[in-house]
Amino acid sequence: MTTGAGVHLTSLSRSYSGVAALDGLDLLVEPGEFVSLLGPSGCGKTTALRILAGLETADSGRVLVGGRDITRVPANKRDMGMVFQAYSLFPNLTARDNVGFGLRLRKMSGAEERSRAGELLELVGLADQADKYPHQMSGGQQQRVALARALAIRQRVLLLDETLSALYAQVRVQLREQIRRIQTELAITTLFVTHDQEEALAISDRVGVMSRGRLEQLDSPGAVYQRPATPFVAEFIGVTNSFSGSVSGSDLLLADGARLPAAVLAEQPDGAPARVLVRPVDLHVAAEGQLAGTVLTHSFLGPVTRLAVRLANEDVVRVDVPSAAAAASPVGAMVRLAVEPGSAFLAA
Amino acid sequence: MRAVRYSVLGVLGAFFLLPLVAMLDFSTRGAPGGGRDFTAWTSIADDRALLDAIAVSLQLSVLTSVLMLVLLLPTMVWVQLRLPKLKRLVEFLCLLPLVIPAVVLVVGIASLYSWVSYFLGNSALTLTFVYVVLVLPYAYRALESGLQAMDLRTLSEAARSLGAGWGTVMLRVVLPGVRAAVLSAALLTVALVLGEFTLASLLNFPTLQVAINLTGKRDAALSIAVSLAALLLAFGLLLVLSQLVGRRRTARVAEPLAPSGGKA
Ligand SMILES: Nc1ncnc2c1ncn2[C@@H]1O[C@H](COP(=O)(O)OP(=O)(O)OP(=O)(O)O)[C@@H](O)[C@H]1O
Ligand SMILES: [Mg+2]
Repeated sequence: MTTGAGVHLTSLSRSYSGVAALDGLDLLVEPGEFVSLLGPSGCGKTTALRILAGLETADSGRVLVGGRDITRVPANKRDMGMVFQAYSLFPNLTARDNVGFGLRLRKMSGAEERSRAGELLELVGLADQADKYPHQMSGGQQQRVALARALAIRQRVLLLDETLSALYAQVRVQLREQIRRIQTELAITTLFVTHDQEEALAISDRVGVMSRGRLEQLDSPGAVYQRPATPFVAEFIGVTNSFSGSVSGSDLLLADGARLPAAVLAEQPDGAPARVLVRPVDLHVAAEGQLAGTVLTHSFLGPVTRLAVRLANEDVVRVDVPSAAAAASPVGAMVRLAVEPGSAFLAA
Repeated sequence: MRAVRYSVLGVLGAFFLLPLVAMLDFSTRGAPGGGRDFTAWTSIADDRALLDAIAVSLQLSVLTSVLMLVLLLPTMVWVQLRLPKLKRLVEFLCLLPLVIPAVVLVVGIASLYSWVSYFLGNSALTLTFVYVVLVLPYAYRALESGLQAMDLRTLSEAARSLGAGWGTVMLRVVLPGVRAAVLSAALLTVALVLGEFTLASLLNFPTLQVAINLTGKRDAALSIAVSLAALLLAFGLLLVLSQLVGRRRTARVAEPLAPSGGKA
């Protein structure tokens, strides 16, 4: 059985023609842990992963795996499995031979290689596709073969770079659950790069939110969601409504005189300008609500319907209401909105 | 529509075939009044100089193809992966022989050849070096299209992360990926080497074309017969190679596709 090794990246920096892709990234991943790196496009997720895999070199900083400094070890000597975003199977080899590629390089006998490759294809549920060529398989199947190939060499760290991005929603969800199950089974340390926050929150032990080449917060999915460490994290993890005004006790006083209760403001000096963030699920349509607005659109999201509401000050906010109750606030209706107590975050 | 297509084909066919038929006719025309005469063809086998020249040209085409591949393919892969900034320069250098007339080339090379022959003797096979330069533009184009058609970066990185060194990447990943392009580059090289006259003649090496030219001064029918034979040989080679490439492609496409549908 494989056992994962701890990964430690210390103050990694890398810039491309003067522009920093990584700016002193520190990351400590425990052995066997599943950590997702989440962040907007261009924040350096891929760069971090490629430096860890040895496919890119850092300008400064160190890479430690299992306590050993491998900063100068070439990619082919690092024993890390990587699954890329682009389809990366060797087109001239069958699924089985693709999985066996790394084994053959390790001088495994033909029979051993075949049985190990078969075992792994079984693990990803593709035992019946062993003799197919990549172009005869669907995208999801190809990515699963790539996963099997990366796992075959029993390496101690698995790197997944937006492995699921090219797939459509249903396959994506299935495959991410499968990846998580296999990862738990093999206890292999895994770094999973994605820009899909739902995906990251769903399958990780811990989520690292990155911004401009640094880690903003590294915490359990629950903590990242409920206690975002920085306004950036709050905004990135699905908090889309922002209100600007000034502090008045533990309320935010908006320009039009409306008051928004926000416990986080209690420690702020009265009269200071402030911005507050509230999730769509934490706004309710209620007759006694503090804010008034007009419903612009409905978007049906299954259990909830998201309303876009234009407030008196022309700002548009998003409000999630149970779909069964959505009919009570039709497009064009005047509604009042209340904020769930204690749900507001302070923005920068 | 169909009539137009066939007449275009017919005209083109005639355009290519007529000279060949004329060559065949000329080389087998016996004494006036007498029937067909194949002595020119049968005497190819008796002409030592010609046979030697054919052997030299065949060896040259093989050596040139191999040297060209060994030099060019790893260079192009390396430039594409590691030094993309140099790509324009390499392309320019490779295409340069196209704009330099052979006669100019030979002036530069002749002095170099006194050194080459000093170190390697003056075997006709030393022409390999010049021919490699000569075929660069064509080989570059062929290999370039092959490399563009594959996801070189991702595949080589996948192989490296699985533990492959650069040699393994070249042999197990790049080469199978650009098989067709390598074959067509080799084919162009063979065709060019078999047909090259200027450089061999000016540098005074007895290749096939040079021998044909010499023979032509002595026995016109024989030289035409050899030329035609060489042409047919080149056509045959072309056919075999293109079959090799084509067969593999169609074989792959013809295999049953996954129900979800692959990209053929
Ligand atoms: N080879 C390169 N040459 C020049 N700039 C690069 C290169 N690779 C990355 N960059 C730059 O570095 C920054 C970080 O890129 P990176 O690919 O790590 O982002 P990412 O977080 O993976 O984004 P995405 O979610 O879009 O994949 C970007 O600004 C990008 O333009
Ligand atoms: Mg990326």
